Amino acid sequence: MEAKPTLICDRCHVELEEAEAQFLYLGNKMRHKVPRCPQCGLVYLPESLVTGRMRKLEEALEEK
Amino acid sequence: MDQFLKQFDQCRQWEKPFCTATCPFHMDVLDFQEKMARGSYNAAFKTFRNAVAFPDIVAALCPEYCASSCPRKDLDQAVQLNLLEKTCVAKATKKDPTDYNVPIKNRKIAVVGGGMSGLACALRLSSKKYDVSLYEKTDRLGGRLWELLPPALFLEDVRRQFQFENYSLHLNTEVLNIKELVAQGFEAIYIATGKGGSDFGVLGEGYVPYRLDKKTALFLGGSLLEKDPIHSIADGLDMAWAIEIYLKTGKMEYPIFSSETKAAISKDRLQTLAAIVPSNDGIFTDKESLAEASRCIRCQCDSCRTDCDLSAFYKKWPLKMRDEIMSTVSPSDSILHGTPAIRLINTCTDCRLFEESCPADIKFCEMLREARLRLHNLGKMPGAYHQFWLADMEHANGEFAALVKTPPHETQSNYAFFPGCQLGATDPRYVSETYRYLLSKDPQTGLLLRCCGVPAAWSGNEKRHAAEIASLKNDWERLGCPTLIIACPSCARELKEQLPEVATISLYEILSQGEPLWGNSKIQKKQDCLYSIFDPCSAKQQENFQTGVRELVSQCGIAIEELPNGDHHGCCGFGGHAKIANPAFGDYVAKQRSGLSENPYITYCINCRDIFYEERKPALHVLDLLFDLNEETGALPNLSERRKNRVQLKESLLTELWEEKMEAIPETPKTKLILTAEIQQKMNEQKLLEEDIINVLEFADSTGRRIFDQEKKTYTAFRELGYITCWVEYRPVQEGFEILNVYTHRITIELEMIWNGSKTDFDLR
Ligand SMILES: [Zn+2]
Repeated sequence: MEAKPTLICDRCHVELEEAEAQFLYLGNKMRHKVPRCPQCGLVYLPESLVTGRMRKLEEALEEK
Repeated sequence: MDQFLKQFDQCRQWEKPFCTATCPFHMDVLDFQEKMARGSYNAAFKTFRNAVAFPDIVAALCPEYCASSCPRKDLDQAVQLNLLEKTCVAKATKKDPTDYNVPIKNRKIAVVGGGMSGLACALRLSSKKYDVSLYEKTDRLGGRLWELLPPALFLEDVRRQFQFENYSLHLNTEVLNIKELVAQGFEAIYIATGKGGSDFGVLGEGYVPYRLDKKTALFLGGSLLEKDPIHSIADGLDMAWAIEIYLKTGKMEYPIFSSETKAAISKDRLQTLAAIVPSNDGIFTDKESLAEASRCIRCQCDSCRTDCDLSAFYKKWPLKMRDEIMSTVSPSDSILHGTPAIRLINTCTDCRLFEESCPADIKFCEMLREARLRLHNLGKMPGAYHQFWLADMEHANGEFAALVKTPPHETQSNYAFFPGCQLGATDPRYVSETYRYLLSKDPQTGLLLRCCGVPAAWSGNEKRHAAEIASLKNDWERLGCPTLIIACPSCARELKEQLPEVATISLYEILSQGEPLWGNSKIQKKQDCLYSIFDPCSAKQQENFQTGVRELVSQCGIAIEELPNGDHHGCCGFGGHAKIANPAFGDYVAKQRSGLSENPYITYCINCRDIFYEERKPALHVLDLLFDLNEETGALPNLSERRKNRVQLKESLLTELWEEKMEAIPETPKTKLILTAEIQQKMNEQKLLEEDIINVLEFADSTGRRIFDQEKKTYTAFRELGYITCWVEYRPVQEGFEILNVYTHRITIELEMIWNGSKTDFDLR
C-alpha cells in the first residue's frame, strides 16, 4: 500500500508525482526532486522539507 | 569602512599578558598555563624550554619576576608560576630536545665565557647549526652556577640540551685579545666573561654593549654587565637573536624588549581564589597543579568577548569577525570576496556595548551598521531579513496609524509627544493615557505618531532611511518645531544622531518633574516588592532617561535594587531586528538579559518589556505603574492585533480629543480565518499577519492553484509574499477557513517566477 498521502493538483485533477524543480537563493541555483503536477508543474513542498533541509540550506548560503 | 579598519589597528587582542611582558624570557605564559591546566607536562615543558633554554636551571633559579605584574597580587596572591615550572620539570617525562634536521651554516661565531650566559648563546646558535666556538678560561663549564646549584642538576641540564649539537669547546683557554678572534674570521662574538671579566674595550662611552670591529659584530652580556643569573641567561638568548639578525641582514640590532603592555582585562573575571600550597615537597600534585594553573585567568584583552553578544554567541574574536565582515562587503570581483558574514552582520543588535567596553575605542556596532549599508548596496542583503519590519514601519507611517497633530484647539505646539511606533501597538493606552496626562500638564502639547525610521537604517537601505528622516523632519516642522517628548530611548538615540537640530526631552524626566501624584491601587500593591530597573541598551549615555525613571519609581514608593553591572549589558534582542536573521541568537540574548537578576524588572522600552513577557520574565513598563495598566506577566497581542491597536489608537484619539472622524479606515477582509492559538503562535514566529494568510488563500482561489490531500480532505496553497514564500494548509468550513498549518521559506521556487510572469523560461515543465 502507498504510505504517502494522495496529493491531487486541484486545477488539473491529477496526482502529483516526484519530479525535479529548480530553486534559487542569493544567486545560487539548486535542483531537487519534489512532488509536482505532471501537467501544470505545480509544486508541493511539505513542511518537513521546508523547516528541515531547506532551512539548513538557507542558513548555509547566508554564511557561505 | 576604512575608518573602522584603522580603529582595528589598535585592537589589543594580541597584546602580551602582564606576566609575559615582565618575564626576562618573554615566555608565552598563556600557552604554558593552558598546557599545565590540562596536565600536559611534556607539552608545557617544551614551551618552557623554548623560552628559557635550560629548563631545569631556570626552574631552580627563577625569582618569579612576573609575580609583581600579576593582577592577582592585589586580590589574593600572584599565580605561583615558579612552582608550576618546578612541577612541570619534575613531572615531564620527555625532556630531551628534538634533533632538528637543519642544514649546517658555515658562519663562524665565537662565544667567550662558558658561564650560563655564554652557554645559552652557544646553545641557541648551535641548535640553528651555526659554527660555534666556545672559549672558557677555567677547566669547567657553568661559571657562577657552581655557587648556586647542585652540580648534578645543572651539569645534567647542560648535557641534555647540548646532546645533539656540535660546537667547538675550548676549555682552559683564556682569550686575552679579541683581535685574535677577529683575525680568525669570526663574524660575530658574544663576550660573556662574567663578573669582573674583560669587556675587551667594547663597552665604550655611554655604556653601549655592542660594537662593530671591522666586519666582526661584538656583543656583551651576562654578569659582566652586572646581570643576575636569570637575566644573564636571557641575555645570552637575546644576543643569539641579535647575532642572527646581524648575520642575516648585516644590521646591528640590540634587542630592547618592552615590559609595557596595553593588555586590559575585565575586572569581573577576577574572582578570589586562594593560592594552592603544594603538599609534596615544593611540587604540586596533578590536582594542585591544575588548580593553580586555573587561578591564572589568562590575561588578554577580551572584554569584547564577554560583553559583545555577537562575539559571545558566535564564539569569535572581533578580529576574526572583522575579516569575515570585510570579505562579505567586498565587491564580488575582489580577491577578498566571500559571504561568510551575511547572517552575522544582520545579527548585531546595535547595542553599543562593545564601544563601552573596548579600551581601543573600536566602534564595532557602527562598523556593522555600515556593513549593512554596503551589503544592501551590493545587492547581497537577504530581503527576508528586514521585509517584515520595513512593512511595519510603512504601516506606522501610513494613513491608518500616523498622526501629526497640534494640540486640540491650538495651532501651535511647544512640545509634542513622540511615543514611537511600538508603544501604542502593544497597548494603545500607553499612548492615550500618557498623552492625556501630558495635556493636563501643558495644553500646548502636540502629538506625533510615527516611526523614527531606524528599521530602514537596520535594513541597510540608506536611501529609504534618508527619506524617512526627511519625512520625520517635515512632520516636526509642520508642528512648529516643538521639543519632542520621547518615550522610547531608541528613538531618542536615533533622533540625536540623525536629526540633532530637533530638541528632545525624555518623557520620564518630564513626568518626574511635576507634583508627584502617582497613587493608584497597582502602585500600592507593588510597594512590597523589590524590583530591578532594566535600562534598555539604547539608554546608555542617556542619563535623562535613566534618572527620570528612577525618580518616578522612587516617587511611587517602590524599592529597587540595581542590576549587578548597572546598565552595562547588551540588548534584549529586539535591536537591529536581528531575530529574523538569527532566531537562536534572539533566544540566547533574551535569556541572558532575563537572568541578570531574580527580581522582576521595571523597564522603559516597550520592546524590552515585550521580550521579557515572551520569556515569562516578570517585567513592567514604568507606564504600567503610573497609569495602572498591565501586570508583570500576561498575553501579548499578535502581530495583526498590534496593527489594529495602532489604528484604534489613532481613531480614538481623533474622535475623543479632536472630535474628528478618521478619514481612511482599513477595509475589513471578506475572508474569515479560524486560527487556533497554536497557529497564531506559529504566525508570530514567522512574522505573518492574518492579511498574509488571506492573501495566499485568495490567490489560490483566483488561480485554482492548490493541492488537495484526498485523505485529510485539506487544501495546501502557497504564494510568494515579497522575499518569502508562505504555505498554508486549510479546510474551507461554513464560517470561513480553518487554518491547519502555516510555514515559510526564503528560497524561491523558480517556477513561481514563471507564474508571476517575471520569467519566461519554460524549461522547467
Ligand atoms: Zn496541475
